[in-house]
Amino acid sequence: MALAAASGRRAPPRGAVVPLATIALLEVAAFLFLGREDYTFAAPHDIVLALGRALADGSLPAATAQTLSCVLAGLAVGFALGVMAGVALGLTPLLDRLTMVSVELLRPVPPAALIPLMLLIAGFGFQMETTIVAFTTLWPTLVLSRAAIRAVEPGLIEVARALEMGTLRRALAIVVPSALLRLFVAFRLTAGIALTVAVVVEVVANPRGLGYGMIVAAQTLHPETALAYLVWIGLLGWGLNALLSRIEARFLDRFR
Amino acid sequence: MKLLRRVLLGAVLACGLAGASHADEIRLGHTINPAPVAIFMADRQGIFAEKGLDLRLEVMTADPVIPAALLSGSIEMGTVTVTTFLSAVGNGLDLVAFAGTSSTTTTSKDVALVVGTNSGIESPADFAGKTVGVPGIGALLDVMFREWLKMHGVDPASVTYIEVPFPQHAAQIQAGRIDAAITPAQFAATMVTEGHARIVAHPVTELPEGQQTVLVASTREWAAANGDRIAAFRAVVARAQEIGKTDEEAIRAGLSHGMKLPPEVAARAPLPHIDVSLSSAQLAFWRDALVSQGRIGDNIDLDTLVLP
Repeated sequence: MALAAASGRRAPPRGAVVPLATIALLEVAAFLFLGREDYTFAAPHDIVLALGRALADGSLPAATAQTLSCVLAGLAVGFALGVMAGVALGLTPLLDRLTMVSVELLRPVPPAALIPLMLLIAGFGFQMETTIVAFTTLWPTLVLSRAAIRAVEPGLIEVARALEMGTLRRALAIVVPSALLRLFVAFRLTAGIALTVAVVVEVVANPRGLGYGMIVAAQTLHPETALAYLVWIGLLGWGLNALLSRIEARFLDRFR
Repeated sequence: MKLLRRVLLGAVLACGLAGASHADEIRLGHTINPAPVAIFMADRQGIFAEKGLDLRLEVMTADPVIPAALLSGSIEMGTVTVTTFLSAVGNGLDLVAFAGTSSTTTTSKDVALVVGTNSGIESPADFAGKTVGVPGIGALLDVMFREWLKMHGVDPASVTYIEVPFPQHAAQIQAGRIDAAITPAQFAATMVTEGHARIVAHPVTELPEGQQTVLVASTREWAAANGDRIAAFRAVVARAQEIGKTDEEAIRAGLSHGMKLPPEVAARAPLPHIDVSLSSAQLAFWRDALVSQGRIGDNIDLDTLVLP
């Protein structure tokens, strides 16, 4: 961006104005109001320095790998199960009616409520966090994919019937491709949820990953490091969403 | 596709690294708390290794997760507050304690009751109707604060309690969302330095002498199978306690090492009263407080919870 601005070919994107102005304002506020010893807030330049240190000493990349591994694995399991269940429920109204109470009872269970239970079952680590991420991403995926299946053009289903396709063939050849765009939107939304939940699990209990790094930095009175982790988590979420949006634009536009 | 494969490979490696630990290693979970400073000193000075113990300290994010972490085998030993320990045992978890860390004295400045400079709280009676930040409902400092209120003739039910993690006490008091907080010394000191709060009491000074605050615990099963390692652990922390009697610098270095505090905070933090002994009598005050506050039943036999 700086390069583009310097070469004069392209003005910096307007979206950068508000964040940059906010950072400048916070820097001025920190200079004016922040005492020499403050263990709650930190000036933006201190946060950037802490971010650089955490990146350089390898602690931030390691924590990022730990968090992302749980996010990806949990998301893979939760999304796959959610889509399968959503497609099944979307295609068979009877099954939908039979499972409605169970789904509606399990869906609102807050992920944080599972932490003590999963801690007892699995102990700390990858399995505990991944299971909670999978559980949390399963339900929105299920609901969104069930709605996506129901929104498939009824004419297409009629064609499938006329061609005497079986349920599986109908799902794979007609329903899923025409619901693909909506399913991908569901994936993009649940990816954001997965990152949030993984970080929450790490803040509350699991001694690994970005959330853990953040809470330990705060508890040991290093706010600049805690805020650096926070900024990094924000950037990560933004990057994840941007990546998925790009994939959507690149590969899924033809389904529109 | 190549990128995806690399990401997945990285993820698998990260999981493998995170899970790696060898058989003889003892993982000891602790929170960021000055009480177990004898353990921090011993770790820093390599005394565990001298006695043949391969001990690794692991920082836990919160005290209440430690009993579950012990039970699931994620850690073998844990430092845990007496109240969390007794509540866990009261709820049927089979844990035992085998060492103390530090105990109450009438001169202890470990814990401070801080009030916002504009809260209008001048005396204990002023707490009625106010909102007070505690680290967790039923946590050691919450139980301690309610007992302190009772000692001063204030009904604990007249106060509103809000769970606020220690690092946020300062910001919440400054913003006026809580009127007061019961908080460890290192947080109180920074709040006072920043000018948002003042200390009105050090509640530990008003408790009976010699009560343990934080214990070292394990599951009963692990303790039964590792008697020799527990004996070695006790010898090591007793040695650290001896060193601390004559060497304040060693204690400060231990605090800095275990709590990873900024040097200027470690330098002025009040030092805990190191006491690694443990007897059932040292838990009695907390047991009675928890029973009277309705948090556990009155059927807990302290003698069975402390390893001889």
